[in-house]
Amino acid sequence: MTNALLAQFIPEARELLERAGSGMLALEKSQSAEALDEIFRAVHTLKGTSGLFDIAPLTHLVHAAEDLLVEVRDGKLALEPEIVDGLLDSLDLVGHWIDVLETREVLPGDAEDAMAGRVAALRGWLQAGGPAAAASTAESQPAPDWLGALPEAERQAAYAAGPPLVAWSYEPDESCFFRGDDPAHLVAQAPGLLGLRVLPQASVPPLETCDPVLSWLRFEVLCAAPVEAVTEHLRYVSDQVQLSPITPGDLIVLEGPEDAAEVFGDFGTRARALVAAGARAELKAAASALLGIIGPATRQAAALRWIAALAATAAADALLRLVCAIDGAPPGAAPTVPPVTAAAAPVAAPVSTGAEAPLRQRAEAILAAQAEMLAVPVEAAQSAGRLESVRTVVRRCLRYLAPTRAEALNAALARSGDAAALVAALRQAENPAPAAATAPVPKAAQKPAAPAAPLPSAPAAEASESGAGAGPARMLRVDQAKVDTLMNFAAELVVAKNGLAYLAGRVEQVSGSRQLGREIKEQYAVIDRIAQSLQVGVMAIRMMPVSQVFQRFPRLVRDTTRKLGKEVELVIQGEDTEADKNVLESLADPLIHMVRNALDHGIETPAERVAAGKPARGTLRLSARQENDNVIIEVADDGKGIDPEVVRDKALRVGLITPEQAAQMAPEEFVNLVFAPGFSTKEQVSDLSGRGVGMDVVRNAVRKAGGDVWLASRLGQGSCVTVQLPLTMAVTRIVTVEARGQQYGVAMDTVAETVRVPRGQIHRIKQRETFVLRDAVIPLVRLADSLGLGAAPGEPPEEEAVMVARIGRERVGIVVDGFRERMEVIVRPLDGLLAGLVGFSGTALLGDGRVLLVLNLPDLI
Amino acid sequence: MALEQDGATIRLTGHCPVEEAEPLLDALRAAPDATVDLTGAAWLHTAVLQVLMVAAPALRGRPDGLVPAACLAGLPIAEAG
Repeated sequence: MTNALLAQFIPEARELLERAGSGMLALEKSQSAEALDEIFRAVHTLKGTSGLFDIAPLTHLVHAAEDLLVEVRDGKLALEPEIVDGLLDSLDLVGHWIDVLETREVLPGDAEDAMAGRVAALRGWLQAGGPAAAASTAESQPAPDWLGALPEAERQAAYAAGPPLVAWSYEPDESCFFRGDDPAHLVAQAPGLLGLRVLPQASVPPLETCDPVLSWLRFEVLCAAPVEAVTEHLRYVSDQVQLSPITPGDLIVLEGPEDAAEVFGDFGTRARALVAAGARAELKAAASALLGIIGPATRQAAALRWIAALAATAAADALLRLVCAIDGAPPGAAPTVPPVTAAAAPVAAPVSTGAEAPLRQRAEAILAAQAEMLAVPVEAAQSAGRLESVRTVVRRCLRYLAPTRAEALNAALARSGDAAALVAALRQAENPAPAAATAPVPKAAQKPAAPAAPLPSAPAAEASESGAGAGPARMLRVDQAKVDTLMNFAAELVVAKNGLAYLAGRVEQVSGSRQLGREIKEQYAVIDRIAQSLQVGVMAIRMMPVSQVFQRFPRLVRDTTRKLGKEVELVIQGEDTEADKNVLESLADPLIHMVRNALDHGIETPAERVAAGKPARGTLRLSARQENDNVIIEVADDGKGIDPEVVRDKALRVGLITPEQAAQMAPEEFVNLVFAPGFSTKEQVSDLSGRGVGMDVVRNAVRKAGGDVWLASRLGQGSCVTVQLPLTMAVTRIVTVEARGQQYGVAMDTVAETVRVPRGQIHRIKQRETFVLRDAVIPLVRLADSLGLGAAPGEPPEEEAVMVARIGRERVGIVVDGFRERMEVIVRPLDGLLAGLVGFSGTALLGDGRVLLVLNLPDLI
Repeated sequence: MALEQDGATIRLTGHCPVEEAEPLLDALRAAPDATVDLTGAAWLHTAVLQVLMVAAPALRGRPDGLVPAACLAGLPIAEAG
């Protein structure tokens, strides 16, 4: 593959699909949020990475699946089996596309159409189940405190647009560009976008050091759209967004310094009258007129602008609240900011009436400032105006003060013109709360930093998510060929070290130095130990848990049983058992075949099961365990079992066995006839199993991998197929035998035992030589004859060396001239001109450099 | 190519994807006084907007839309010509 990135994507995509698929099945079993998150994460990642390549149909399909999952996660959609089917089918399609991508680097031509159909199906569910419970997320939340920072014109436009309104802030995470996000585009496409503010999350990075591919912006956005629509729009960045539905009233945030001019009092009186009279046009005119003569930066000016903008449309109480904000008269329920002195910093958000204590402190601070101001000597002409303004401020502060203090001040205010009395009254309270004068003001001044407050939640969530996604283990993806090469070297080392044993023998022979020979043998032992460890280590790399093969079965069982209308519980045991990757791969197809067989032929329909007194739900047990150098895998069902009579009749009918053979066979032997070529117990060929190929295919595959398979069954109680496979195929233990001066290797696991048989005990039955071993008649084969080596020169020996080998389920005695050593070798298959040679499974290199032919006994006999 | 430099003017045209951000940044670092001409720009990727916000060059023309407007609001406007 030329595209390295794509080459990396493909295994990753497969892994993600696998994870999503198994998660889906887990989810169907028990509605666990964890499984859902797992699927969601897998699908989301897949969608993200697929965006890197020109495979739009794939991305779209995964996208649609993700949308559906979002609904499920939010509890708006129940996970029906049909939806799981749909999602699984979609994942299958994606898996198929990945396969095509791997070979051709482009999606198949029909991908677009296939995608459209699938997406339509997924979206169909989305709409059907969608809006029902959609309102669940719209809980009442306080309006965000940054609302006031939006341009007033935009807020007024939003007020005019009316509900539903949503205010949301969005802080794209730093690396969002790498995922192909364009936050500005996302914001620009938001439904009902009315206004926004863009600001740096922390500070604008300096030009010299800024990295153009890292995002550092924060968006504060106002939308006139239902919260569901906005949530939907932002679903992929939901972890980076804070979203709150707001009321139009939340938009009226008045900011700016307080202006205590008398003229506002007059306006207030007039405005109330106009509101009461419903004379909106006059109200607007009055507000506009007043705006013309005052500075634009004050709170009052802001309120006037709101009145001017809303006079025609807004409700009376909203206008009245604004009027109150202007003249400071006690409002009913005011969304207004407490009146702060001209010196105080602007306050951002409407403060609820619950926060009394800070307000009181602030009011006291204001009063203290007033007292200070009055104490400064000024000319008489100005002092009157100053006193008046202080009186206004004090009056407005009254309602925020402690009742006794308010009374005292009120009394002082009543004596208008008496500045000294007012100062005295103001000073009274300075003492009890001296600290209050300074403390709260800086707090208010911090306002611009306030929007940053909700910051930490998003990055924290991001971190935890990526932490979970990374998984606990550090993995290394290595090309299997590299491991195989390493394995070959390790195996060759094992073989090469055998040479040392020869060497030790030769040293003793040639130089006659036993001492040197012993030292070489000691060295041999050390190298032997290291070589063994190396081999075990490399083998461990290739070892995979059988769960790699097993994990596809939950899906297979689910699909198959749904198709067959059966109910089956799949039990998987020993999935941690490890075996060589090649062995497991060779096992995958036979296992699928066996599982299908068990589901199709073994387990009955629920009705049949109930009639037979069994639970309606059948059980299929897949188990793996290690026994010596073998992996044992069993596929057991509690179905109807196999009837030996039926098998026998069928075998007789198709001529697999003769009636004489049948008479000698035990019931379990009949059952194992299902492995014979061309045998299928079920007459009717079904869609699932028995497509003309039977269990003989299974047996061939397993035998090819150096294993064996057999079946046990009890009629009415179920069957169990047992597969036995070697842990590893790389190194074979052999024993060498001699025939006519030639050495041959025989795999150790086929050799049952070796015996010496006196000539007298060898009997000839018809054409065959036989001998009796522990009351069993064992046929004899002469290796030299089988290999066509010709007759032995001279007299036949008194005793024959016989190797009893297990071939299939039979035992055969093989007469050889002698046994030599046992060793571990790599058996290399015969290739080239020798490939067609019958009787040998391969060659192996001996320690002294000779080539040994390894016999394949079943061929020879 | 969406980015062209013509003397003291850097011109962004059409759709400016994230890939334009780096060359733009380099160009603006090399010529801090350059004017950026956005009259022909249809859409600026967030990363491009960010670079403009950092470098704050004088701008000629603004792309349509509330979002670019909000991002580039504080940037000076180049005199015509």
